[in-house]
Amino acid sequence: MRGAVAALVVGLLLTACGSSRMTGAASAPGASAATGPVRTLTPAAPQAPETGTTSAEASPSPSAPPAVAARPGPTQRFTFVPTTVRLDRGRVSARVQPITPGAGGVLLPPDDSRVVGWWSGGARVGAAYGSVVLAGHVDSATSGIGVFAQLLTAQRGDRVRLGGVAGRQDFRITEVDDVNKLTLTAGADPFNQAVALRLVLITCTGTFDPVTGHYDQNRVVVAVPDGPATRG
Amino acid sequence: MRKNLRLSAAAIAVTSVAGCLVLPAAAAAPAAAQGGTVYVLQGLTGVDAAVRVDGRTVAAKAAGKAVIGPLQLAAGKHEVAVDAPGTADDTKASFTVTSGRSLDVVVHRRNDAKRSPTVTTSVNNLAPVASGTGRVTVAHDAVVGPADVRVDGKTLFANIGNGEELTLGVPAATYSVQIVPVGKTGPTVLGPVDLPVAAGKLTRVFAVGDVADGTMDAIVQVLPLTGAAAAPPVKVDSGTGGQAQALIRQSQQTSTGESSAAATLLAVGVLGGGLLASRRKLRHTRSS
Repeated sequence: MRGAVAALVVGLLLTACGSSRMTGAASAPGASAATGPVRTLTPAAPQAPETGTTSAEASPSPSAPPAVAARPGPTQRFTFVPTTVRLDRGRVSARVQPITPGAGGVLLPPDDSRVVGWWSGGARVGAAYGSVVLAGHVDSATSGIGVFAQLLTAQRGDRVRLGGVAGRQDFRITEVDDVNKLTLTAGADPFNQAVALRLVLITCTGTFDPVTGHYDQNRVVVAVPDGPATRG
Repeated sequence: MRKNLRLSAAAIAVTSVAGCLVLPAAAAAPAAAQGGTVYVLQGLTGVDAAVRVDGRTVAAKAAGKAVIGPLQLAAGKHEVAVDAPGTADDTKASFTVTSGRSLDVVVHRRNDAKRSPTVTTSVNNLAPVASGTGRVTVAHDAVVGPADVRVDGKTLFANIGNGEELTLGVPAATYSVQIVPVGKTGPTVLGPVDLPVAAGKLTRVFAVGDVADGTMDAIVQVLPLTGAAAAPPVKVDSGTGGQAQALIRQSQQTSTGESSAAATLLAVGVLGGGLLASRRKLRHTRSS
């Protein structure tokens, strides 16, 4: 516990000084700890070619074998864009489409409340870090009660499955919360990418104002991976 | 593609190996011949080398770890030749440039230092990333067996062999990086060293050199991504009809107080987990 507090204090000091050093869970570096100050790897300054750039394509000489393309290592992480979401509670599924915020930074799900939006500026499914954010209408003036109305009864432990063109990943719900819409990003920011991979599902709740046509709260459901993203 | 009618025995051999046709120098350029961008990386640490592209010297004396470029080359085949002391012949290879793409051409030693150097190409993935993150690619071009790359004490890039690479999106930050032999806790191959990863950039790390003669090192290349990372939303409007009002009231009445418990968990920053839990706590503490 003391170690965690010390790490927190160090982290606070570094943050105050503008450094962005990560102070994650420390683990012993092993017998090969550096004995002097730690070197920083600085980016190479590219040196301009000395005789100008060649423009025309050339005929490589017969003695030049083709270079080999770098191969992805066997542990390359598989990531994908979600195209379907399935909530086990209520056994509901929906197509997922990429969406981006509009004017004023407002994220609007697809008009059809049977379809859910994936914020394309967030993480892809299967990534190591970030928030995969899905937003769906709880209801729509033109298409009725939405698929994400099911989030109103979501509970911790519920399974959510995201599917892609050729992949899927399962998640388990860990948090269900209602927040005032105007302070959605003020505290724990659902769009934060500096987290271990999580799924964030957002819809509306609270009180509907028929004059403005809006609800006053967001239901925010957070789920964590229940295994890696897999192909197929 | 037009067939080269002036086939010689050597050209036939090259064609068979390459699996594609050798284009004559006088071939008409395709309409969209905007060309591509190339960087040549001199990964023979500890020696100075002369580097030629298509017969022209682009660096008379490039030190180990030098990044030469950007070169703008027409789409199609080109040749790189590197002349380094201690190697009997020039290291030569042909590579293919695709219009609109950025390519790294890396001259480096193989896992076995007795064999001649080789050339590995890698396309630079410059597609946008999630806001606040950077794309990191770690490539193994060094005289050492398969390695794990540990970041802040955790293996994030596992089991990379010579000529292989792994890509990962990570939050922008400075990380402590160590390269160790796969599965061993024995002597580190490189590091620990600090690696800054900037948001909205591709940070490429090439492990090069030879542990045995003390030239083990890393080349870091940072390239801007095409297209800015999206700014995060500030608000989500996800209800326009009001039909769900009754459902909402009902779910609030039957709630066992789970919502308020969750709100408490939110407030004390229990959300998020793993490596970055403390960082998220800091964010909440500062804003409250």
